[in-house]
Amino acid sequence: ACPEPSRSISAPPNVTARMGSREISREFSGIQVPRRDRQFIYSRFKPCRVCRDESSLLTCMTFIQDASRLAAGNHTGELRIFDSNTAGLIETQSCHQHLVTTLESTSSGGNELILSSSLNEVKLWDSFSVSTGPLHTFEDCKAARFNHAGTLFAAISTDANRRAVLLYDVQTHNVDMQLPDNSSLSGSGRSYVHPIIHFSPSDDMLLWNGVLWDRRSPDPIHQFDQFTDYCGGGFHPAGNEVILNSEVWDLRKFKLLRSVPSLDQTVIKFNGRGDVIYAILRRNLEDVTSSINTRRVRHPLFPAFRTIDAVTYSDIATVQIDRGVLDLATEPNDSLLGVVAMDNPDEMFSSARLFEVGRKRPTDDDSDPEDGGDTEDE
Amino acid sequence: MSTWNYVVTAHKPTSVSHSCVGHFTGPHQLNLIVAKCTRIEIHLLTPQGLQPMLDVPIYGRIATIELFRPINEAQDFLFIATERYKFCVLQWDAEKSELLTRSMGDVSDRIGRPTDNGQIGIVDPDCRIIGLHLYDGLFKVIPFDNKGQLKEAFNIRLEELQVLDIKFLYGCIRPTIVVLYQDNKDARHVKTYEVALKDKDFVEGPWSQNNLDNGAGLLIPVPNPLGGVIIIGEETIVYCNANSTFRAIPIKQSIIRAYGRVDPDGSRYLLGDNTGTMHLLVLTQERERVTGLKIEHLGETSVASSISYLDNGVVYVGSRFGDSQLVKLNLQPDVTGSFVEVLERYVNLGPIVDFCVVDLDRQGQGQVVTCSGAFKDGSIRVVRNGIGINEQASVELQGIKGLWSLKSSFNDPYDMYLVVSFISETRFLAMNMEDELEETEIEGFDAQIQTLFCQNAINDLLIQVTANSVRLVSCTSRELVDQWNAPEGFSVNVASANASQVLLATGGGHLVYLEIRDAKLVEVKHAQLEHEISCVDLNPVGENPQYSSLAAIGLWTDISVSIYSLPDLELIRKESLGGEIVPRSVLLCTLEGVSYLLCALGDGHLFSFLLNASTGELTDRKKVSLGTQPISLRTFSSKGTTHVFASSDRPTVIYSSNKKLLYSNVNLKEVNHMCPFNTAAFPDSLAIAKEGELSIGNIDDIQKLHIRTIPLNEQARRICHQEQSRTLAFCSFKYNHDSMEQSEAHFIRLLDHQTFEFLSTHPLDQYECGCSMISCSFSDDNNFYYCVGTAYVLPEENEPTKGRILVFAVEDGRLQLIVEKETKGAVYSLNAFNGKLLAAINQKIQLYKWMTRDDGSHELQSECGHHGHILALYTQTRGDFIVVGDLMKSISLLAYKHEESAIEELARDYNANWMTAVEMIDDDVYIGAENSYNLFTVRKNSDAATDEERGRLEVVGEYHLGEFVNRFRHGSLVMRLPDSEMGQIPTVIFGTINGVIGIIASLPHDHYVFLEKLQATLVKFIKGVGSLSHEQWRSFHNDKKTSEARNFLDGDLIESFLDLNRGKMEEVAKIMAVPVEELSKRVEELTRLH
Repeated sequence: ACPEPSRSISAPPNVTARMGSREISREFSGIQVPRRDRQFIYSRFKPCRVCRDESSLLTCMTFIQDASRLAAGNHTGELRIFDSNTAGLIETQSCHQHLVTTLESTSSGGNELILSSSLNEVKLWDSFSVSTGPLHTFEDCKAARFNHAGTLFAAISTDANRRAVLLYDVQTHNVDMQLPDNSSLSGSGRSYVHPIIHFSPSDDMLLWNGVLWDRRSPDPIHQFDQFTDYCGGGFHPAGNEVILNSEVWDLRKFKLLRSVPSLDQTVIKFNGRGDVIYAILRRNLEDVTSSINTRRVRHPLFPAFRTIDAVTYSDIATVQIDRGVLDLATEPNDSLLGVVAMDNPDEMFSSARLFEVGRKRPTDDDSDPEDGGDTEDE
Repeated sequence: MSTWNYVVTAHKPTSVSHSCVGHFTGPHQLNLIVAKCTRIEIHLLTPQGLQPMLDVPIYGRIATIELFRPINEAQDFLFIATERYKFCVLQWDAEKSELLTRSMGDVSDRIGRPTDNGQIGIVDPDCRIIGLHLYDGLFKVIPFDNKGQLKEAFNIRLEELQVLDIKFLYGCIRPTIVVLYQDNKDARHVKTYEVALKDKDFVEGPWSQNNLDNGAGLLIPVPNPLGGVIIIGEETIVYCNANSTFRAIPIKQSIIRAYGRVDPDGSRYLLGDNTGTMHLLVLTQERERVTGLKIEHLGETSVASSISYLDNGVVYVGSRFGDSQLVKLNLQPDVTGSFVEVLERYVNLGPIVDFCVVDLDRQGQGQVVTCSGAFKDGSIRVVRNGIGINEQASVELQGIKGLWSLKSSFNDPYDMYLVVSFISETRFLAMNMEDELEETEIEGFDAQIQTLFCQNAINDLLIQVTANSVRLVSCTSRELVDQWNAPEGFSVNVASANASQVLLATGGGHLVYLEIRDAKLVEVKHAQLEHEISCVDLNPVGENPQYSSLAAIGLWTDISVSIYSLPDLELIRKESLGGEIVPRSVLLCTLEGVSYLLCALGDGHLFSFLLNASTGELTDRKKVSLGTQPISLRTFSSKGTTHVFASSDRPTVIYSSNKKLLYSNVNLKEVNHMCPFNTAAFPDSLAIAKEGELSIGNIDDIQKLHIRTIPLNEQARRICHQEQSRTLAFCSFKYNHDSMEQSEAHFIRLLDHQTFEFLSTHPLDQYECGCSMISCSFSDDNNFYYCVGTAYVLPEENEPTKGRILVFAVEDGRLQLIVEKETKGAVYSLNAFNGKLLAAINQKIQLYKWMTRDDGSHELQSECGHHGHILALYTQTRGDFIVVGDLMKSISLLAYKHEESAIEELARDYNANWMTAVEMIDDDVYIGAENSYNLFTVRKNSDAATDEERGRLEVVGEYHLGEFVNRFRHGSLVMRLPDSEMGQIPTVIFGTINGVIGIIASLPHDHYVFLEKLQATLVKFIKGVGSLSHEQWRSFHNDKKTSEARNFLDGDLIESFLDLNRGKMEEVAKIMAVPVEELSKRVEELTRLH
């Protein structure tokens, strides 16, 4: 039988005790300090502002300009820019014929770009001048993702004759490379949720639909065994692992390392430090109404998002927001979190809700009862 | 605005992280190498003890050091890896006595998660590869080629992600590592891997061992012929090897983090645990097989972080938490049952958890009082710049004009008489049988006149020089033996003498040279100089301690100092001093084997020259300002070393370190005269004449910073000073190791601020710990109080839900609890704020009013608060502004609105900085330290055009300090001369985990620009050890970004200009287009900031 972990060597669970021990030595409290700190911070999310779009249904969002703004797409194909500090709507720009399925933002070399995807087109925008229209429109492709360096993006071809992942150069707008999809497994069953394209942290590999490519070659390096499906997941920012749905694979030896039930049926994002996973229930991005089908609504993660320790894969918290979650956005400084959620599923309104990371909700905030002049900065 | 900052170390790191023993400086020399975070010290083991050879800075935080012996080499090389992924291999250059870089490189990877458990760097015992564990899941290999040169590094994928330790095994055909790791279920195991160099991969190793002690944390590889590995746990120690030998021994629960191998065959090891207990672990063996383990308790040392067995039972114990030690392991226990005898202690201030700046001597000079050390090695340390004189006796005496001590016979080791000269008389004091000074007579001396000089001379004689005569008196009879009279119409103005020579000047520039021959005064030579003589000296600096062949003479009118030869009084060298201030005191002296001529002026300036003792040549002229009044110079000796005392309005000790002259303040206000007075009752003492007082005192160790230790045997966490009650108060706690359940007991304690005597203790509740402490007064109440913020740290809570603010008054030297206020969380910080009390409680900033009830009792009433933080850990205030340092969300600026009685956020820094300390440099610029060892400054943007910009604190300065700062405080460690430019520069002091005390000085812009250019020039002249780059080292670096240092200068680098040789100094000065003297002077001024 395993002996119980000893108390003296593990980090104190109480944050005040950890603050005391780090004053004498950072190393002293052992390997669990960062774990405890993550648990402390990423179990607390304080709702701070709601960016409302009364007239329509927001479908996706991304932070731009150092998280001072956020861009949201809606189901009529508009792009809306909000101020993160005031939740005020700054501008609206019509963008696509159909709904906006995904929004991505990147900054490289002083430029800040937004990538919007719809059912069969992708547009590239300068985030500082959205009102002047897109920089370029890319037809016959969808579900575009920037690479980490922001030098190119990958999109899925919607041309039925040419099933492929297309890599576009952000500067020239040309197709840099095509990675043909020869998998027979894709679209297996009645899967209505499409796999997402993922770039490895160093951008030299690409993963889509369970297939791993090296950026330098159109021939896949590896096809992962299908344990569940190829949706959700992504490369782990630490560089050692790939997550496919709930399975964690060793990136070099392609060995199954573990199964994490909390990740099942989710799409994930990492925090800025890459040590925490945010998971939301995945949905068919191309059909918003399907996201409120009864089976999905009954799922415990439907009105919530989940944080998971990306080092240990243990659950940190499931944060209830009592509304159907459509999308989730992180920002590099881990200060704010954005969630697109439906205010009222019957009337199909949704808004972008901002949370402050690491702060307790005011409801469980224990202020002194005698505090007359308490100022809540909301 | 003060955004241009100069960072310099006043006290170097003293916390020892690593040490190792080997033959580094020569095949037959045994060296101890000690790593102190950013410095390496090399010592030589000699029969007299450890002799320091080299102490150098490393441009990086040392992650690992290891000595190894490449194939075909006669001595060891040193491998160093830094936390920012640089490594180097160093070799000793015996000819130049310096370090030579064999190889260096960068082992960083672009992708990868840095290990949470610290970096590991190891060298294969057969010198085939170096192994590094820097990122989770990767093992980096740097192979050696067959010539012992390092080849290109490569990574091997390591499946174990939570690694606790890795070591190379001995005697394996292929390099083999043993890995101690924790699995997904937090169980701990060891596993071995062979490194296949050709395939650049691992091959499953010969053995593994599952389910170890869950506190297993340290591996000790055992050399051949035994082989295998020892696994140190919290409750068991296990030995295992490839032949499935498994031996275990239970131990008393402890955390062992340091070990030292005693025998080369690896049969005995010294282990040091977290309680400071040293154990001996013995592998019992039979025919080269381990049959069992034995552990013996040896005794107590400081809590060890490294143990290096030197030789003959002598062991170096390096410590992070207390003083490092040199100990001897005796064969027989002492009366307390301990086998450990402490031979020497090496002061360590680390970790400095908190400190306060106080002026205990009320001299206008700050002293730093720290909470130092951890666990049982906790202490309070009083750090003072300069040298302390501890007065032992004093007597009121007005109008002292001179002081000399005399021995009762020439060969007596101790002084007997003290000659005190007044304007028209001379009095003689002597030690009586009761060791008291009482007045006596020396019959042959003239007591009715002022004495100009006194001296013991050869042939057991005493010399007295007065205005009229030179008298020779017998030591035994005290009667006059011989006399030289000043010529008619002339009187002696100045004089000096040694054991056999007298030099005196009478009016009109007449110089008379006498020698003592056969107990007679013989006038050997007479000379007339062109001007009046202001001072003379003939202190012997040559081979003969009783006879000088050189004399130094200062002149009026042409303001010069000259060297004359003796006995012929020929001018050898004359140095014009410039200006209009007359030299008032000259001194020939030899410090650390280097001869100097010192010449002090009437306005507190001092010239120093290097003196060639045989030729009388003067070189390397330097000028410093010591004070504002005339200086008189005198040598004295302390612990067998000669130093110079400069009496003036800013008394100074001039001493030599590394053959460089250093100047250190003395903690006395004004000294007119000083003479050494070494008596049996007061050994190594000085007699000091101040205004209206004569005192006898002994002098502290001669070093720039003086440190006094008050051991606590418990850990102090917060400290503050209260001038009004003449006390210091601190929060501390003690670990209780005895009970099964580990527990801590927390206290508030009160000390007398002069004697450091314990006055009073207030124990806190169970689980309650002190988190913050200030001394303050409140509106409408003139009393001063100690306010303490606490937290109830319950192990089952992840954050405290309860704390207290305790307000104490000091009454009759006791802590009286006046008010107690319960809070809803941990009170991390307290500030006096607008006559109220500002507290940071968990996420919240809360302001309390001080209310007086009708019955005269008081209470704290909450007025307003502000939420907006993850944890509000550090607060500082200025006027109505509040700066908050958050656990993760950098710095934010709040303001108190009087009318609305509300606290509002004005601006914040949006970067994710994990703060460890904050301070407001001025109204607009704030400095922060974060947990990746960086400093940064932010500026309030109140003039910005938009609300959005005004709401952001602009980052204006960034710098990698390489130290974990626990506290900033405004203040200074040195006497600030109001007339000097340096006296106007505001400074902040900081204290770090490694025991560094540093200074941040906010410079005027033009000064900064000049020094920035100097720094850029010096980088080309002063190469980093191991060729590590200074620019990379000082660049701001955390897990998010790396960016060049800006608006901070590295004072340690700039001040090392003074260590350059003359030629290099001149080259630097040429590039700077400034005369070398002026450049030296400007840099020397900077050194006076600390």
